[in-house]
Amino acid sequence: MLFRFITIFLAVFLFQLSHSQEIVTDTIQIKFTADTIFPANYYWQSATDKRGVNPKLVSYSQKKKYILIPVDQELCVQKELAKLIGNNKSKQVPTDTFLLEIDYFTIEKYNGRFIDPYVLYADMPLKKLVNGTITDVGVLTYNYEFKPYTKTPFNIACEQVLSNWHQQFKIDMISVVNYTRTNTEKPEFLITENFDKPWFFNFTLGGALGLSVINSENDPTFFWQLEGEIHFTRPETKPGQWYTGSFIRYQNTADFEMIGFGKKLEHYTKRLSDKTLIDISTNTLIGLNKWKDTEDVKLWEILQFSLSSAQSFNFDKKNADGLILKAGLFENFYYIIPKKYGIQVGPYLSVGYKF
Amino acid sequence: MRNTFLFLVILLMLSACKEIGEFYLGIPLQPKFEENSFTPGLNIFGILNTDSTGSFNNSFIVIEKVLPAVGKIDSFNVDTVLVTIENNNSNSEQLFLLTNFDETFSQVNYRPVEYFAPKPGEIYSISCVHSDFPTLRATTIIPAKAVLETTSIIKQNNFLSFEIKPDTSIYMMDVYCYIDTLKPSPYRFAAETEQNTLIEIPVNGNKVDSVVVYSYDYNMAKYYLTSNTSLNFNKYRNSYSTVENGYGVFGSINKNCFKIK
Amino acid sequence: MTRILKYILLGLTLLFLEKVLSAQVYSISGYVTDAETRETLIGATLQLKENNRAAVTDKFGFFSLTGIKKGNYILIVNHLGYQTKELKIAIENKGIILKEINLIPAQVNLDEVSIVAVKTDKVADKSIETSHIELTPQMIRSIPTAGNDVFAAAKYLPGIDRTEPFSPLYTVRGGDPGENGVMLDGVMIYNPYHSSIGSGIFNTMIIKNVDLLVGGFGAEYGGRNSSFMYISSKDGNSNELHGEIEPSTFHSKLFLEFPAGKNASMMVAARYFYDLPFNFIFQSENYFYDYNVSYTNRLGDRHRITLKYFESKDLTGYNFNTFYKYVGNSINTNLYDDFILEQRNNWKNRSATAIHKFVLSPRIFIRNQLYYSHHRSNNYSGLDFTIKYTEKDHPGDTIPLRLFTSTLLNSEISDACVKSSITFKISNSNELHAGIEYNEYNFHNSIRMNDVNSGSFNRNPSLLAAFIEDKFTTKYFTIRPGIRITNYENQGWLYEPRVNASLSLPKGLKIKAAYGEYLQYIISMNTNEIEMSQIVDYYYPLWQLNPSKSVHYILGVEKKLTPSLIVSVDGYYKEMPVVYAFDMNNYFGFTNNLQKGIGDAYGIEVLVEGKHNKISGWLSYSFAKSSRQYPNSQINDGEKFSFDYNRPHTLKAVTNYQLTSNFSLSGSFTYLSGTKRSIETTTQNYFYYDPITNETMSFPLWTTNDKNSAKMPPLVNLDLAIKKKLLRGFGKQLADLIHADESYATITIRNLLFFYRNVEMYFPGTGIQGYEDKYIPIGSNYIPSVGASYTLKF
Repeated sequence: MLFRFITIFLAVFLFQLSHSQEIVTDTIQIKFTADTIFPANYYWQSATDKRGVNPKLVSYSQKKKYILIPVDQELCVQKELAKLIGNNKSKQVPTDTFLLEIDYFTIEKYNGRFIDPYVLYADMPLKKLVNGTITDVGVLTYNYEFKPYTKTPFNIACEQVLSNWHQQFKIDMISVVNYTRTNTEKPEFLITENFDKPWFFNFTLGGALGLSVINSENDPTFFWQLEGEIHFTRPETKPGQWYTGSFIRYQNTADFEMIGFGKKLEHYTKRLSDKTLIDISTNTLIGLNKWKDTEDVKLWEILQFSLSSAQSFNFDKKNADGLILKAGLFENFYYIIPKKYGIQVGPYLSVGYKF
Repeated sequence: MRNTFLFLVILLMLSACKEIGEFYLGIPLQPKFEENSFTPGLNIFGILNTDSTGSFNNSFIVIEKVLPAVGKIDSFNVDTVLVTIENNNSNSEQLFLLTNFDETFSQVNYRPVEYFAPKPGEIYSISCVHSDFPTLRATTIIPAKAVLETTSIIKQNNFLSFEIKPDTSIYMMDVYCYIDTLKPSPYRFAAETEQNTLIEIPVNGNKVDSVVVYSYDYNMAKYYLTSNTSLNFNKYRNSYSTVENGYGVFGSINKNCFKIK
Repeated sequence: MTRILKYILLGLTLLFLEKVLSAQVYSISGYVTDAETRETLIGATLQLKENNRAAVTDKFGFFSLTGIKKGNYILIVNHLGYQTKELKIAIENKGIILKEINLIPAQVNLDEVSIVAVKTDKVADKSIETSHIELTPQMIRSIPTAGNDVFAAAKYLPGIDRTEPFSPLYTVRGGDPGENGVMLDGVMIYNPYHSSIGSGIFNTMIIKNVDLLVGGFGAEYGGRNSSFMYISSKDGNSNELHGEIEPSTFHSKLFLEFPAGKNASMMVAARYFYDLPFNFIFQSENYFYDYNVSYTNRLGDRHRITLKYFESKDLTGYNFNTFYKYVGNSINTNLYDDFILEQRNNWKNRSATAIHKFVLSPRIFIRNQLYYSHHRSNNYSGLDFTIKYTEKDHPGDTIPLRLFTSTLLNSEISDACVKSSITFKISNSNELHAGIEYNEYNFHNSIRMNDVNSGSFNRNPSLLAAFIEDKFTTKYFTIRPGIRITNYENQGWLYEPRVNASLSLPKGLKIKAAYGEYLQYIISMNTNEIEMSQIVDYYYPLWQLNPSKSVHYILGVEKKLTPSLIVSVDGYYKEMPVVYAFDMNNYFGFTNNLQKGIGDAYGIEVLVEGKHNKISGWLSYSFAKSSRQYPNSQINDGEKFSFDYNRPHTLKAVTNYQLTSNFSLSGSFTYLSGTKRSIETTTQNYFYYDPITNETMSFPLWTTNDKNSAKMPPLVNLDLAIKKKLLRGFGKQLADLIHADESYATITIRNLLFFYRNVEMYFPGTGIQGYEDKYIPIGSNYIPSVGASYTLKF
């Protein structure tokens, strides 16, 4: 008996050893040829990588091996990324001289419910050399979206994202040069506010009060709920933004109390002014019910599935830390196996902070 | 290479058990007994009650057998047993028969065939004879009525407390408080044999009319106060027995009632 | 008594002699600390370059080097994971107490990552404890199923085994669980466990080091017969703020260390665990918390004052009534409507201590401590179930079935202690260690079974103890004789002689031996037979009875295979001339059921630990036998029986494979051969009687008259864990937000060998078709499971 266990243990152990090398971080080379077609009216004095990681690294991706072992893959370019981006050496006259830094650079796939593009996130502080002195211009901030054909492998998609972005980057640089020369309108991707972070952390706590209007059981009844949410947002570079967050919801209805977690609370925001925006969010949730009357409750009725949406008008300062206020409408549809359901509608208020 | 290893691991795992389904259910994983002593015998619950007024006769004996823990499902019931109760003081014998006496009692038990009223201090012996089992024997001393220490009654809003005088024949008491004629719930106390037993009963602000105290003999006290009835498995737990050549208990009970003013 | 006097006289003579002989030599002493945190370092080695005189820092991070003549020296200071430091020292005409020696942490080289710290330095090897195992936080964290718990991790070491399936208690080398002492910075902690998850109350984040003394320990430790676990906690970082957080759905942990004024530091750690599904759906209430606060002030080079406070609380209220109601509704039966199954535990631990460490002279180190430790537990479990059961064959006939059982155990302990110890480095080869301690206890215990009071008591014993031990070291041989004397409740002085010795042979071979007599005045009640699962030790002070006693004989051999790989073999025999047990099956009250008996235990343990290439860890095998006998009791009719938790063969392995700096794999494997259990042989109806209606109800219960009559199948477990640095995603964003230095995810895969069901208990399969002659096993760990957590360190 003991012998058999030892054999198995050793076999598993050997297996672990012989395959463990594959479990280590993989490196995937991607091709990125810096585009030199555009004649440019600027010159890179230097481009430095301040990320503190492998300078060739573009992004990490993750895949699951043996179903559950998460393996990080390093997506790398053949040369140092900073050199590839800052490769424009054309010295035409008149030229402006810039210094580029890379603070943050990554490519991720945004897995939304409605859209799923690849997004290149980058923060690159830009400095200009004028008469021997260096002045800050701002941070080139990118949330560059690109949608390759479906089923494109991650590395190929990244190549496409990177080269498309680089073309955009060069076009953008032209407008930056214009902006620094003539002080025309500041391009939206150039952020001059000073915040030393790639992501804003948002925390909100909200409540809703309303009626269960359509109900499998009885006449409309009141419900109220509390909801806490956290999410990360990028500095805004265009009016419309998509992002997802995690939330916890407590709901109190006539029949039950419910608590549930959701990992994908998806928002779409449309900015109206520097301080206001419109926010539409959707989410699905699996919750646990605490029944008020336990008389006829079946074991499986402790679970509920719900689908909800909220539309709100927000006070939320653009690209700055500060208070968030939301007011709007909340709608929810819940379903409890086998045939209990309801639709809840009510006004919704929320307070939060972004930092 | 990877597949070979996976295959090897799975093969090794499978070869370790003949029939996976069975193995997974854990059936072949049986404990190995070094000692397995099952002793067949009668299991009785006999109680002699002093409370026998008129045609009512509250003494009875339940007789069953014990079963081995594993094996085919079987009934605890046994065929007719010859049950004799002997008064050790007067050497008189009393036969208990399997009867539904006077249709007063819902349970079919062994009951005395004629008027039977044991008195406190009397000693009774039982013998249960059955051809398949060894003859079961046991003895009980009828307990005295519980005596209240009248000066000890304390009535508080939430508690009623009083003391019962010690008696060498009383080992356990069940106390019922009649609160506005509601069906009372019992409170059980181990009796002190050398000093007064303090009885404290929560009454939640209700007014107690009367208190009934049942007193039990040594055997019943041992059966109820020292038996391990916890619902746990594979722990050392002796069989429940206060009798010779068998299982169960043969005891006696007395009753007293007090008005609480 | 005369023997004790002889010992004391001998010690004093030696002291005097040494004083005379060492007239012209001097000493150097001081603390060794981490340069970044100023946390004291245990086991650092110090050596004089000129004459190879050496010393090792003790568990307080203090060292003393003696026998040094006038002159200039270079002192080399070494510690695993730190850069070596050299100090110039000039000795003129007096000894020196050095300022703190700060060692700078070395850059972690991947090849050096090891979960076990095998002392590669020759000097550190001179430790003479035979059965001494050191657990570091890193070792604890590398065991997948240990869940960062020191007690769970300890069960992967040889000689230490689990007791009941759902219990955190452990048994060491055939000793009772109540014979294990746990000390947190010198404070005796009673029942350091959490009820709700069956783990320890010590947050791994606070632990600096854990010393496990599983047998033959020195005279410094007393009052427990089997083992001591000495946990040293961190004092806090006196340079800057650092911390660690671990948020998750069901528990959250926080650890902070920071400077508190000049030369002072503080440490705060807390955990909170909440059982949401149970609390919410089934209307129970479960939570626990624990927290530690520590303040250390370094008053100059000579004095250090530490204040520590620790508190933990558990509230468990498993109420299965709503659950059974739902089950009943689901299968359309009202069987469960009157089903009441409840478990309620309410535990609390508190301890406060003040420690004063004082360097009187370069040779004399004094430690004074005052502590108060309090434990309270209140455990209730009960089942009340009544149904009218109708037999299929006789539809008119209903059989009333009833089972009512409940236990309520209360235990409250308070322990106030004052103690003082002195370490006197007489010469470089002779170190005297002596101390005195006084404990004032208060015990309150009560039991209520099946709703009947079964006794309670209050007792306030006191214990006065003193010890002296002297360590003589030569090049190859070290011996440490010692004696502990105790006076419990003014019943007279009893003595416990102890001796440890070690002999170093060429080729890395070392032989160690130990002999010791141990007395325990405060024993623990074994309630396994009446409680569903005993998850706490109910300590009970002996009263006008001889203390329980055990005598250890240990012989060990140790060999260094490579500089970082060590193999050791330990053989032990433990005689227990006095042991006590409560006869829970014949229970009428407290004292008259205390049964006196004898016992013994013997075994052999083989341990290979260290590292080879990128693999580090340990592998152990142990063979053990242990028995008990209570001759004049009803326990097993007075016959000898195998000890409850005796497992003859155990094989345990923990490995860690550091693949890259970002990724490590660890695994743990245990094979434990089956324990002896009392498997039920008889089914007997147990009767309930209602005197008002004069009716009976009954319930079939299983009984056995033979204790530990059957052998259980073995337990086999294989668990894996993956630890990886967070490089992307939500966790990384969170880590960036709080500027975490280190952030990683841990994924635990438990019970990979799930084909081998881990059988814990059986119930007889009476009458189930096809299983008539079988016992149906109830196992834990049927199914492999996966868990994940994040840790952010800043």
